[in-house]
Amino acid sequence: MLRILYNSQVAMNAQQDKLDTISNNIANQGTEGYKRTDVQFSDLVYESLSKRGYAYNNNPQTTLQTGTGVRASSHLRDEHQGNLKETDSSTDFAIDGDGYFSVRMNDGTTAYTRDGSFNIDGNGNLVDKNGYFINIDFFKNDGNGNLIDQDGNKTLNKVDNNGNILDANSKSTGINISNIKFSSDNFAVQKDGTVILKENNQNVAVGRINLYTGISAGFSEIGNNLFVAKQGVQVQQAKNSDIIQGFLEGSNVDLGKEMTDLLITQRAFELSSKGMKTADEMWNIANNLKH
Amino acid sequence: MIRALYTAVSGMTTQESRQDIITNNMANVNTVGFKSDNLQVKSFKDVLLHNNDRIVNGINVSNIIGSLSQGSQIDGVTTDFTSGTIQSTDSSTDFAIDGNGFFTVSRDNGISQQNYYTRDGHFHVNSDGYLVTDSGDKVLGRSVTINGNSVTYGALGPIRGTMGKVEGDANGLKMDGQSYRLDTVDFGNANSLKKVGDNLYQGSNPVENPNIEVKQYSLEKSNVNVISCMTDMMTTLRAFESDQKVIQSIDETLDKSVNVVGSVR
Repeated sequence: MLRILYNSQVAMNAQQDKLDTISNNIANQGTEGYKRTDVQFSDLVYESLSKRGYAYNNNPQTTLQTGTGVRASSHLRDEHQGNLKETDSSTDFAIDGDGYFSVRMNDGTTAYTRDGSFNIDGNGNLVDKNGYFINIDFFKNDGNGNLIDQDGNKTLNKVDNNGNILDANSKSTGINISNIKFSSDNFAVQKDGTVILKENNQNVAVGRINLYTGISAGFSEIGNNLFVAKQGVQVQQAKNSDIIQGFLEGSNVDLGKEMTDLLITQRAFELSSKGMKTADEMWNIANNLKH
Repeated sequence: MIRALYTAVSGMTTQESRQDIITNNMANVNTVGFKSDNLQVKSFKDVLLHNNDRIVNGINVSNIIGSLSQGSQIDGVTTDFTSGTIQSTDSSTDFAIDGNGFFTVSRDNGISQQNYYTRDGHFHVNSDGYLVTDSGDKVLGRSVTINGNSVTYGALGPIRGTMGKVEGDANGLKMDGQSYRLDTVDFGNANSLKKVGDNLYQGSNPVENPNIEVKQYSLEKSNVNVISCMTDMMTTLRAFESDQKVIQSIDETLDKSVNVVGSVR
């Protein structure tokens, strides 16, 4: 009798687990960059039916075991991209494709995020919602007056010994590589991540925002839409993704799928509750063998 | 009378075992690739009843009355390997087998490594880059290299990549650009397979069969039929109740024979 009761009990718990996840997905339907969680089930260990008091035949053609129920075994993040929404804010960015922005947290560790709703702080730095700096690879002086990017490739501009970027006529553009300040209307980011500063009617490329990617199971959530890479996980630059300025990525929750899953899970919960009711009735019958 | 009591009790315990199996099926109604179980019930071998009521030449001799069954016993549990419905998903690491066959996975418990078999194709890439099941067991396959017209298959081993990007491929799947064929096997006698939990089966003598159709972006649902479960649960409950009534009436008869028939009044 207990086996019947416990099978039904663990099944109800497992379906409850899935219901919790579904409701969390639905609650985060409007959260930017939210990735829905998917739940699947696995059966539990099998126990022998050859118990004391049971009559059984040792038939070698069959096994003599019963299952002990089910558990919700996998809570995996669904990494599909959400819809991109236009916001008209020059500090909003969306990633089209794989990859994460890289931010530097207060203690110096690198975190990753898909949430591109950035701001400009009081010092002219690009920061995320939590105030962490967005890692930008600014161009540098290669020692010979050439402005080079992080791979060592020469850009269109030259730079003087004081760090001022020079235009095509070797006149200073007014931009100094050690003192780049952003404001809401003085910069643009191209699809490949190149950051362009607009100063004195000139557009000068000053750096690049890179995207990073790795095995998705190697990133763990730490809240605030941030992820950190686990020990030993290889993080590489994502080469095939675009950064779109003025857009934000919505959540990837599909309400139709969530509602269908909700119905199925609710009915499965109900089915096992009938099992529990039957266990109760059977035990009642056994108890009343002798009036 | 006592014999009848034990016959009825054997019926009750058998119905209880049957209910155990049914509730496990119901618990796994949403488990990917689950195959429902059935309890086989067999009656005990008949016994020969005889008394000494026959008179031959003035002496009472043995008189055979007939044979009688002594109740029911559990014969065993068989698994129904009918395919479940195949559902389309949008995940490149979801696989389903159309028809017979199993995926092969390898479990390493630190002391030894053993192969298990499963119908549950809900795989993912873990943080070490291996293609694994929900319980962390590595999925086995062979790498596929095509040189012009000749195709070479690598050794059987876990499928691993550095970036974990899985795409579709005519051979099965492509992980980080390398094609793989999933190891699919058949068993001559499906009844020799034993369920061990985590949606895995333990079996011996698997036969590798590359012609088993594997569908990507699909999952096989449980083959549990909810209506059969509810009906079986009801019939089992009522059979259990009938056995209770039999025991109660035997009890009453015994009560009469002990307390009334033999009483001295």
